[in-house]
Amino acid sequence: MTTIVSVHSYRGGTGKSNFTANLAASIALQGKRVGIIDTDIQSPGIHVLFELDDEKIDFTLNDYLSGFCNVEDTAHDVSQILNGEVDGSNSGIYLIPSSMKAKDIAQTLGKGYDVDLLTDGFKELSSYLQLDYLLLDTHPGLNEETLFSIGISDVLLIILRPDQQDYLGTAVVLEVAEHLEVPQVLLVVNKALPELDFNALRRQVEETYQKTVAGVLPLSHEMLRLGSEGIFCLLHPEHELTAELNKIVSHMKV
Amino acid sequence: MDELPAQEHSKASGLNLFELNKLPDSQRQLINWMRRKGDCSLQEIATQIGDGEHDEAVRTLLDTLLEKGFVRELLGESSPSYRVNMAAKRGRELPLKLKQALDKKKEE
Repeated sequence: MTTIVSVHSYRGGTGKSNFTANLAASIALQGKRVGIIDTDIQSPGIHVLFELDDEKIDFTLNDYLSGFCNVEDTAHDVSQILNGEVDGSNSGIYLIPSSMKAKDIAQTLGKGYDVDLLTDGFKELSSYLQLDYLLLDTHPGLNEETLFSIGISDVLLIILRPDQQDYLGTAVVLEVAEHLEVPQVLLVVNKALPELDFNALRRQVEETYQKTVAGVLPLSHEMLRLGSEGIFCLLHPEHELTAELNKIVSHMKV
Repeated sequence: MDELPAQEHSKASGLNLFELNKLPDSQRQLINWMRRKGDCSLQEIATQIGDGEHDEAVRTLLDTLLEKGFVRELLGESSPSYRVNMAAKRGRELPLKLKQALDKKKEE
């Protein structure tokens, strides 16, 4: 049984894709098999973190939705990023990228697609790759794709910054999640200034939304310096941010 | 909350998720469950709705969703199964200049 996890934020710039990539690595390091689908067709980019460039990408989610390939063809094994740190296990990370070519983005958005293809694709991939987790990296805000992803998820992780606009937007996303009856909704506060009292921040957010805060991640200079050129938790395994990230995984009910 | 008129939706080719919260709770809850479950049998639907429900009530709820075009019946060898019928993601008209620029790039 695959646990589907949507990673979402109401506003852009919350660090959603970076978080998703790190979450995938953290789960894989625990011996699990993880798939990531970049459902952010309008502004994709998570593949950069896994060092996938145009030359290494054969087929994308756009190709599958256009009927040019099977969904299995879009899965790229990016487990090499783990540097063999989980020897002897069956773990792995598989990425289904969206195309970064302007004409592909325009074509997919312009022509639309059969939403059932996505549902079937998620199921086929989960079975074909024997995934424990399927992470959906979403487009920020609320649109049809977002509702679709949230609506089939077992877990919704909402990323927010300690920022008034993010707070208001999170309330909107939570209302939608309630209508879609997502079994588990967790909040993750990202880019918190290190001088803040993290425990107080956590309590404040939990009291406001009546939801569990799975983690409070500090704004990190090391993360900024990395600039998406790699997976932070693999490069900084001892960092406090990595420790907090690992805790988030333990909050997710399987 | 008012139910959406069946006729309005018989023309639509499936469910748009923005409409989900306009549905009565019983319909919305069944659709949410079916979307996570995938294809399911009448028996599974009856079990999900609750032990206290009569077959007739389950059938009525399902028929309403079938009539609206939000659920479709898949014929199997022995008994049919059911799945949520999602509306296709509509395309968006691109601004003419952008379309021309992309067409030009495609030709290159």
